[in-house]
Amino acid sequence: MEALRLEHVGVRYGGVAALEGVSLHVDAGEILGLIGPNGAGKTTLVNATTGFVPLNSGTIVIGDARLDGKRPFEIARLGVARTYQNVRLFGALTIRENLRAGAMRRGDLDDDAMRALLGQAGLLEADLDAAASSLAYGDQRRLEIARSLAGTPQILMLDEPAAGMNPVETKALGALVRAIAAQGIGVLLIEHDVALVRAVSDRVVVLNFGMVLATGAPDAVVRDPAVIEAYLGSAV
Amino acid sequence: MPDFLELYTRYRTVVDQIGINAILALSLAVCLRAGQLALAQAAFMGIGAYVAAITVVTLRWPLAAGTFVAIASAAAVGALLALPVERLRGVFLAIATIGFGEIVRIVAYNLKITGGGDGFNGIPPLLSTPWIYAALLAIGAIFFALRGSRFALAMQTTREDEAASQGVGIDTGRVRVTTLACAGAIAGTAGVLYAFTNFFLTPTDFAFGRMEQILVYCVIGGVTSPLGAVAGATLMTILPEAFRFLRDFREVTNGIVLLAVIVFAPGGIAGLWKR
Repeated sequence: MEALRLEHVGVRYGGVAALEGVSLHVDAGEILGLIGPNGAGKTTLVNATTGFVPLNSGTIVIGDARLDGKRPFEIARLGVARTYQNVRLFGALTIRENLRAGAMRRGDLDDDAMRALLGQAGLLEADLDAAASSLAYGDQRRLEIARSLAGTPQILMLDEPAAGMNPVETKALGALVRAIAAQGIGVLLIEHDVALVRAVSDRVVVLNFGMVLATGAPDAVVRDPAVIEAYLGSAV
Repeated sequence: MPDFLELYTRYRTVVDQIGINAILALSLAVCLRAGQLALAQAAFMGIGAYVAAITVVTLRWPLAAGTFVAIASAAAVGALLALPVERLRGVFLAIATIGFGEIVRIVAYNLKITGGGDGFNGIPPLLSTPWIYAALLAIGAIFFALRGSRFALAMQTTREDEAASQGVGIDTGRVRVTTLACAGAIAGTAGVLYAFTNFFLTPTDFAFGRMEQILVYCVIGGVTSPLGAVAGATLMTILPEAFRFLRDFREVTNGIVLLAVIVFAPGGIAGLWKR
């Protein structure tokens, strides 16, 4: 079942087209990998979908609801959660408060629900009353994902979640992303780590200069000569 | 007991000032807790004071009705002020709200109904120390009751990261409007108490000098701590009185304390007891 659909989405920053005619969809329970070189428009796509930058053209729909024109908090309440390229936790607040903030759209969370979320994110040992900023960098990324899940989203957009993680942490992250999708949540995964994207994604979309260059199964996409030339520079 | 009464009689004005200043500090603490450096508390206080004086003295309304309208007026002005300054942050918000305070002062200075520059005379002493501290306790109790609430959390996340707050579904615009309305209501309450314990109002009572003092109370108390704000207001109201023997130099102590806090205890009094 289709959870999120973008149709002919265009975003301009002044005279520069950051996105042009981008169409894609994410199904419930699907992991869609989104790759592309720096400046291809990946983060702009997340920002446009979550209302942080306005669209110049096109439509974005979740279920029956239009997202374009809505403000970020309204889009979040409709079930679109996200993480950020640079971790944006509420650093001075506790882990508990971060999770409560994440659950704001659906009510409050009890300690058991928080523990379950932390356990799922691989932070079972974390002290709920510790400051979020006291966590190690990789754990902060995990907490940001747990905070996003606290709102029981339909769609989760992960913007370079493996950045700064070591191979062991990246492998655990891959398992976490698969577990999230197994709950029926559609995941849009932006990642420079192509191996991770290949390993976990059901489909991959390649952006280049703000346009969709290729779409398909991960192995087929990374063998596409156009993708190799535009993004990878050589075969992977 | 007679000693206490004598002490109270001698220092009643200071005791009242402490209570009113503590309420004003709480008004600013609300804004700072939501990350808004909105410096319009003196103006809100002035609106509360003048509306209460005009309704009760000039229009001969009952005190309760005048008080209600005064507090509601200050709250409404706070909410309305939040709209034009919606996109301003930090020092730009501070300057815009200081400008608003100047507008309120100049309007009060030029209106006949406020008594203009001559001031508003003949306000009966309808309120006294117990009312001031009852109001302070009531406001403190509301702070305590809201501690840990979803609204309090939304204020904190808005202060920490407004974009990330919106990303989790928090309407930060509404948080900002509600915060300024609450700040207006609290400072308006201080204005009502000030009006009916001081007999006389002039526009300079609500000028930038007072706003500066309120900001100092919060910096010394600890910028986001309500208890710290009350402690800061208490300390900085008592200090000039304790150093009265220094005559014209007595307020220098305020500057020294402020500098000392900024350099040695940036978290203020609240930061000291958290250590």
